Amino acid sequence: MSRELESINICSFIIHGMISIRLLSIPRAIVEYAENDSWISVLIMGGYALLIGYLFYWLGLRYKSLTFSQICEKVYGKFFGKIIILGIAIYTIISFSLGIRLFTDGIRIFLLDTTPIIFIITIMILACLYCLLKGVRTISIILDMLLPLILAFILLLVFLSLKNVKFIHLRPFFYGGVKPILQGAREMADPFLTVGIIGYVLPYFKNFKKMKKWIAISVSISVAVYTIILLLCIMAFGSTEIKYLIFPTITLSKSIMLESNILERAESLYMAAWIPITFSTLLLFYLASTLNLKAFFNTKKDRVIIFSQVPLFLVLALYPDNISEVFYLIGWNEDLGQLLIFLIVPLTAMIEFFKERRKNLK
Amino acid sequence: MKFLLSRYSKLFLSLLFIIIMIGCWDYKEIENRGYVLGIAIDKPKPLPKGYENDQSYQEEKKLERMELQQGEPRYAYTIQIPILPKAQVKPIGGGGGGGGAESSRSWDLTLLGNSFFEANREFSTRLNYAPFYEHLKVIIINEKVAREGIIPPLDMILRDPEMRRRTKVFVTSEEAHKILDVTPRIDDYAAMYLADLPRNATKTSRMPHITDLGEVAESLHGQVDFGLPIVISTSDEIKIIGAAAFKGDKMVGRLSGIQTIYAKWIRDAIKGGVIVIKARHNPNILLTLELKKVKTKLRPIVDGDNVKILIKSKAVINLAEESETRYKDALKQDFIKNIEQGAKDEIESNIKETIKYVQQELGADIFHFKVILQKFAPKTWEQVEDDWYEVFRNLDIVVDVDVELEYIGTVK
Repeated sequence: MSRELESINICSFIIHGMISIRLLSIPRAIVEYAENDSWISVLIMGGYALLIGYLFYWLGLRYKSLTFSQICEKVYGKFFGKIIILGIAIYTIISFSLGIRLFTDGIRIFLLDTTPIIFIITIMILACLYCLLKGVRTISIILDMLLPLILAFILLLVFLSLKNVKFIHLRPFFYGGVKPILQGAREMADPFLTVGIIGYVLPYFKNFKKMKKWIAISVSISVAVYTIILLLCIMAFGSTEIKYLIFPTITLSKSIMLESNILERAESLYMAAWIPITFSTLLLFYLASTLNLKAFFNTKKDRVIIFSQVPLFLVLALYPDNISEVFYLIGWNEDLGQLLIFLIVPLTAMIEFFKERRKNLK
Repeated sequence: MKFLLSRYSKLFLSLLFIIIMIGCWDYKEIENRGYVLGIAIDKPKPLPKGYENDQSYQEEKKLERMELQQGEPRYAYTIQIPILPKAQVKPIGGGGGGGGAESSRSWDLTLLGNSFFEANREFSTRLNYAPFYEHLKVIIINEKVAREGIIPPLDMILRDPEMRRRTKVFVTSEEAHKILDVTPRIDDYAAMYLADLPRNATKTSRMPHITDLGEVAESLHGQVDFGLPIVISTSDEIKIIGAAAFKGDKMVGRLSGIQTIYAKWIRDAIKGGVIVIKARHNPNILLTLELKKVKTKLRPIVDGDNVKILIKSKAVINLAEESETRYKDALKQDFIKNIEQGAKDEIESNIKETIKYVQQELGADIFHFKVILQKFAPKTWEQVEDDWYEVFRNLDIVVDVDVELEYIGTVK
């Protein structure tokens, strides 16, 4: 692994990882539980994501040349380490496959209704594969280039949607109590788990100067984007209506209509953002999955691992028969993700912490 | 070998990209789309008396029938497609007249069916341009359809990704397709003309302007009653004459233009408009007041089991017209206070009357008092939820309007 990235480059990895295709459907998932208080769920999970981000960073500092999967093997031993790596492999591969399928279903509904999904899926996989073959430096450059574009389009969507908001939709505050808010927060665990990309790219960084600051800034930006989009969806539609919308964020963009006859199809602006959003998140899942599988098979053959995942991605992405099955499988995969974010990562950090303390005592 | 593999893999990838990226399955020439500007939904009608022997009419009616896979036709769906070569930007006929005799600038197609999606596909048996709804401007629903319920005819429109939530919805007591038949004097298409009318909400509050499909969807899904504008037409004009009140998805009654002003006042939806009052010092003098800014807040007042709704409003008005001019005291504070008090009394009284009418005659909570309880007194809402319509009919309302006169114009 060549160390070629500057600490500021971590920002685009984290933001692209956290702002994922789930931005399109997550408002519905959270509102199902937390109703109009859903934005609090995002903030709570955002705080936890920051903590998890720091844990990945802290572990990375202890094993500067190892990825999180390799660290797991060191911390838990070979057998349990491999089991955890296998869990991560299942999670990342399914996340990539279902992410690409969700994107394809979304694009089929709103843009390319007669294009066969296999071609949309194949093109996305090939685009990711090409970037991956070029290496982490190339990925970082692409992510840096896409970041301002994506944030600018999201900002534009926010600005144009402000006309449709009604503050009354946010009331009553905290009426359902803490439990639904926490249940809603759990729904955010999956998109925010991607903060774990830190654990896979740290070995590529030249220095770690101000890294903590950049992690905090990038997590905050991602959390702010989710919170604002969720607030806008709630204020524009009300929590009841969101439950009826399959992709509330796209519907939000389709609801924009200016008084003057310009930007009649303002959602095209947002479409221009969510295609690169999906691409970048998928790319990071592919990267994490490749590095994780390298640790699992204990190999240095990048290309074999990269190419061998392609048929798996294709089969898994094509497996669900309909969007209902996609969401069902995403739910199942989210459970696995929650196991990783709520148990494995903190546990790994705790074991490492106690190991180090014991070492120091000796 | 490695070099060769790399070259072959590049060649393979290039060929693959050439094959899969040369075009788009969804590519469609812009001039080959049938842009649907308006949809009208009526009840299917038998041949009217006197037309039984009219062959061209009979032939047209034959085209409107389709073989249904299930049941009998419940609706007559009409779509309006612009005939672009006939479009014109200048007023026709010169001097602003004579538009009605022009040949139609749009093609209105009707089909009888019970599923809009099925009918929509059936249009393709008559239309060589695929109907395209992304630029749909208006949906007009016949009153009889509206009274039976609008969920069945609107479901596909709410569900289909091609539709837009900002499409405006109207109700008419006439046959809805006749509204689309109007040949406007300035605009090219009735749908565009009608879609623009609610934009005049800054000029008058006699028409509901928040009337789009998204609002309808939110009301239907949230089980909140609502209002939609009612339109009537002549051969070259369309007029919004008030509001249709919906309870659930069924129309239950109407509000006149003046009642619509006060219904909008309660809903904090006034963007402008006019009210006319009698001068307090002389009832023979009429004062026309322009509404510049109106802000209304609704809050529940809960006292034990007793629930009231407080309507607190602040209005900024201008004196626009007075039937007796040259009033020498026009710049004195008493004169101003008098107008403010007169306006306050008139507005409060009209608000109360409108509420009473809606409570007693319509029984539909178009003012969203239910939402106010849900948002500001959720515990009370839970207590009254099951008997809400009974509670609504007897709900006490406290109205407090504060009026501020800003300008009196350029003469005393």
